[in-house]
Amino acid sequence: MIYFAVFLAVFIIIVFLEIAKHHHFFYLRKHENKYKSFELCNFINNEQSFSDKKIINCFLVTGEIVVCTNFFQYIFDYCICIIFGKIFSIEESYDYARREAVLKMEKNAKILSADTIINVKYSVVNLSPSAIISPPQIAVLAYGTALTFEK
Amino acid sequence: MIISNIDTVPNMKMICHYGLVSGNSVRTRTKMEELMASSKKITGGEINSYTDLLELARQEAVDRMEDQAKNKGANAIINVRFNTSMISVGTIEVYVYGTAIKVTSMDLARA
Repeated sequence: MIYFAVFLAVFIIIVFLEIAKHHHFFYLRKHENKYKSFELCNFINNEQSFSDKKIINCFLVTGEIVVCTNFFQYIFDYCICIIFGKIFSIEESYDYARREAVLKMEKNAKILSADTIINVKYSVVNLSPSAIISPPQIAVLAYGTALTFEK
Repeated sequence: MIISNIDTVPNMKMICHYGLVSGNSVRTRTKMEELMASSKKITGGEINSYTDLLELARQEAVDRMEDQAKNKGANAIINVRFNTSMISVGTIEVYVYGTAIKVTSMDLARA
């Protein structure tokens, strides 16, 4: 009976966390669509790329986030990675962290009335003490140069 | 102070450069923050206290770099790069570096 109760509790937690994760991704997609008009690129020489527009202002914008992987999903994925060779939860966490960092950077740029962000770069670090025992805590710092064009 | 991570400052002409400027900041999480973040370690998702920590570290590093550039007499920093690294468990270092330059507007440069 106790084993069944523990199994049920773990199952409910996993289902709840899965719903929460989908909720996070749903809001991420919603906000990404909101900033769809915002141009993002990785050009180096802006003067050649935007020759038809006059740049009136340029400044550095950043967006940072620290994301932790779901513990239960991480342990489960770590077990099944023996067969598939792929840890899905970490993959999702990295994807989520990078996208959210870019989104925060876009928000900061929008507040300062920028039109585009060029030369976008990432700096990623894992803050977790050990890769096996605890799930990774991914710190992502996204940065770029925001430009404002003459209207 | 104009800061950008591209090679030039748009619509500006570089007069002289002052070499490399840098700034760093090392921050660690407090026991309180660690306690608050422990629940997130199980459920997953964004750890707000650590995000704030990273933001503070980044801001401090940029401020230090700016001060260094100002002391040299520069008014812009180009080619800025960030480097984030973990020193020990829960301790993060943000290192930022770039080239300090002096720029003037194109019109003034032509005159």
